[in-house]
Amino acid sequence: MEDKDKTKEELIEEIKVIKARLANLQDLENKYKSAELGLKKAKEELEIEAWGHAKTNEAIKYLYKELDKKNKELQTLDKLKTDFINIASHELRTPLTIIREGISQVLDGIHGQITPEQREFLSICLEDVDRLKRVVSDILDISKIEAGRFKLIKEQVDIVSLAKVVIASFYPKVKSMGLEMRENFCKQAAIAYVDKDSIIRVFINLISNALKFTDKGYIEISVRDKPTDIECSISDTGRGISEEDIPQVFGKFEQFGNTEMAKEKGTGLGLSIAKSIIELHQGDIWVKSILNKGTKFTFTLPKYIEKDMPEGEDIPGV
Amino acid sequence: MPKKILIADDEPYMLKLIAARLKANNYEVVMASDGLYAVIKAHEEKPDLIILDIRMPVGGGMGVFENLRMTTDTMLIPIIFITAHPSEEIQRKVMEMGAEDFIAKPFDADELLAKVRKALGEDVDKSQAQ
Repeated sequence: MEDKDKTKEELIEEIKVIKARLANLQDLENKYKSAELGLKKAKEELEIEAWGHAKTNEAIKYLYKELDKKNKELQTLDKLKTDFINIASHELRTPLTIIREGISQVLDGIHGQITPEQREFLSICLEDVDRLKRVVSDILDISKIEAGRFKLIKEQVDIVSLAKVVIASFYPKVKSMGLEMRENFCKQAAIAYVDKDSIIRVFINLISNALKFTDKGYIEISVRDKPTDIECSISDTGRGISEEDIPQVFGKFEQFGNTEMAKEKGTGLGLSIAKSIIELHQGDIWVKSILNKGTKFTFTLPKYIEKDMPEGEDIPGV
Repeated sequence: MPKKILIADDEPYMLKLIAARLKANNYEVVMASDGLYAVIKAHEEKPDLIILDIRMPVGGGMGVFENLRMTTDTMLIPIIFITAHPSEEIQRKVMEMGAEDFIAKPFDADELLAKVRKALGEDVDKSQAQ
């Protein structure tokens, strides 16, 4: 055998080599093991991180859900509020009509003669029923505007003739109060593209407001056809609004000065409604006032321009 | 001969008061407290005008309206709707259906009488005479 021929030294050498390889292998195995350990650790770390992400995601989802819930709760509350106002206002209408009609029939003598005292007190009742009626309809309008359910039916309207009609309805009252009604209109028609009924409402609210606070002098209504819009103003020679009160003028249920003196109590909603209506028309409304001199409310309305016409309409005979 | 008006409303006080007001203005009045009764009375009495509350038991105002439009004896009678739940939609709907007029509660006697006269074709001469 050749092996047997190898010298002892050679064998020792070989053993050494084998031992070195073995050591090498062991080293490799150790390295592998430690690498495996490292990987395992890294994996664990990653898992922890992933778990953390999942948890964060869960938390975010939960928060979103909570937000959504709160949002829905708020929406429900808002709807409840609107519903309540609607129902309350509607349920007030029938009894109000009955009370008003009952009183006015007795006053009109339909059910027999009444004494002057009875007339006086029934007239007081009727006046306050009318006030209640105005409050109910104002509250209903405000709630409609706030709920975005106040629909404008726009058409071409000559603001000069509209103002004339509204003013005419105030003449008897203005006269009985010893005031003067002045008109300051542009010569030609001022055509705006607006919801007629709601603009009548704005004029009525602003003129009523002016009358309420004016004891002497005049109320002046002006309509101007400006290049960009129609500008209307209602000015009076009344007691005016103090500087600190001006920012609240258009607020809800705001009443200034000695309203007890006013012949007809307001609802505190008239100016707020006027502002909302003008804003729905993309117009502006503002007030200038000097205490004890007078107040001037001005508002602008969009002019009628051809492109406002809905397509396919107003083609008679086609 | 006085013109005959049928009023249908489920609110008895409302019915009584509208009737009193119309009677005081020389109209003959027939009353109905629900939709079914309104249809029966319309056929029996052939009124010149019908005033209908939109919300009534046994067929609301709109149901009565549609019913009356289907028979020849009642199809031409002018109809005014009254409601305590007014909205632009309802108003547009009843006017499109062919109602004569629309009254929202709370209303006052002047408004009611003016609309009644207009529906009966009486308003022109009276307002000009004043």
